[in-house]
Amino acid sequence: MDKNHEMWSNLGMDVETHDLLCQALPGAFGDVFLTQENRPEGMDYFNTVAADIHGLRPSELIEEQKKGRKVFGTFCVFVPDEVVIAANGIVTGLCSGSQFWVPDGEKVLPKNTCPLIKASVGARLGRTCPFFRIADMLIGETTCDGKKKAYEILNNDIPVYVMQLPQSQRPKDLASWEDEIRRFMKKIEEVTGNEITLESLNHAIHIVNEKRKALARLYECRKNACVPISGRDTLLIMQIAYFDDPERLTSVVNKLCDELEERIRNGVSVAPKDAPRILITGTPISVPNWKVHNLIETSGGIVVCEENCTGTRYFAHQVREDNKSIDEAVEAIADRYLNNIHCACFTPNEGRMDDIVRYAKEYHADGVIDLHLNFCNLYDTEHYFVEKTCKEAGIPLLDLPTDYEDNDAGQLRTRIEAFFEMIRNN
Amino acid sequence: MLYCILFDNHEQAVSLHAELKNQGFHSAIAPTPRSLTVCCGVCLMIRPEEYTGVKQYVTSHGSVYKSICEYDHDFNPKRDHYT
Repeated sequence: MDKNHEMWSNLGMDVETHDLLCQALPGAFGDVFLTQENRPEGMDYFNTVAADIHGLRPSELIEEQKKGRKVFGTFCVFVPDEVVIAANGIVTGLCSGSQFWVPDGEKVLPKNTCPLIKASVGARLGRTCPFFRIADMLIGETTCDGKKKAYEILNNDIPVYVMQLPQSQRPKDLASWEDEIRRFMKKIEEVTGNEITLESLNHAIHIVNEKRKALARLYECRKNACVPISGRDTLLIMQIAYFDDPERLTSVVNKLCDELEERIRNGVSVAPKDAPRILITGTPISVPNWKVHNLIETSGGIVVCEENCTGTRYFAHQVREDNKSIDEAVEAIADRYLNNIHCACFTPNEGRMDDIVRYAKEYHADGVIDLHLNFCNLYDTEHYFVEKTCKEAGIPLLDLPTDYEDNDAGQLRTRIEAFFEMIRNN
Repeated sequence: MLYCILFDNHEQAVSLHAELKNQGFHSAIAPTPRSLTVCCGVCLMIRPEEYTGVKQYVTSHGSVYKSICEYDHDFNPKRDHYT
């Protein structure tokens, strides 16, 4: 038995079923990534991680667990990585982006639940994702009703700690979120057995800020008229960013950015000058969901920005550093997360509309695609405001609800091509 | 038709990828097609027109790899098979 299969077997995974997923990955990866021309050399690292996505990082996590470290699986950008890192814990994203896991999720969830939630639950209960098996604890958050109930179900199978995120961004909500972060710190200290000190918290804040800066630098490159990296490649980087060691990721992204900035200086672009530049907004696009980016970029467009949780919401704004007390650090963390991530779970959520218009200008987008997963009630409903905002700002908009299945790809491609035709004729 | 170089671990793949790049060959780091092996998740894919040159290079330089296999598959960006 090879090392990966031995590891998966030791994790109690359903190895036979998981092999079916492993069979599908090479074809999908090849179609989406290896057919691209002129990819940056810095993508080699991300190709390697993606090629063995259920082998490389999981084996590292297991080695760290042997040294006594704890692994926390997270689903959402609102969970402050800083707290876990400050207690010498490890944060990992969790798989949730493939139709492969949906049927196992549907065994316990209503079919009219969003595919991301169904896939998450299916990946754990179907025992077909190593990250879900390795995690000592899952950290949930109250960002939608579907997730809240899903966490209760998952909690029957693995410990789940849920952060109570306020539903508005008023001062009283900030105070409540600060309390929630303190409560979270106590739980993490209890699970890891490590005390969070001012020094460790400030250091963790710095680590995560550096990662955010690197990702922001990557996005900055995409604002240029000459686009040095495809949306597909950027999406892969963002997806891997959730799983990887934060300091290593910062280093490889910065190295890649050196190459991209050189490309910009030399006028090297991965897209023709007349390719419609697209800003995607909406729900998260978790690994290995590459469908819509691929449809856009094989229909003549280029994705230049994602206003979502696997895009700008993940890295925009820093946490204030060099705090003088734990209370000050908690305030800084609470402020960055609550006041600067414009999730549809908030009411009102005007900040997101401002972001869409601002990003459309900054990234010189020719159009916006509102990509939201079917049965995501919050983002489906908030489309009303996205449409109103784009209309008022004079930005062409395409509404694109979809899920993880392949069967709507032809129809989506037709709609995307028609959208590009409209943009070109404007 | 493509050719895949298979390895026992990803470090070998990354190392040979760098070597081949220095020699002017176009290899791509990719997931190993399960029809070829289940051993290591990472392989190098090489173009058919470069197969002979790559084969000569790895043989004459004693490069570390497991085997080189034909992979009867053409990638298609519009296949739309994602899951």
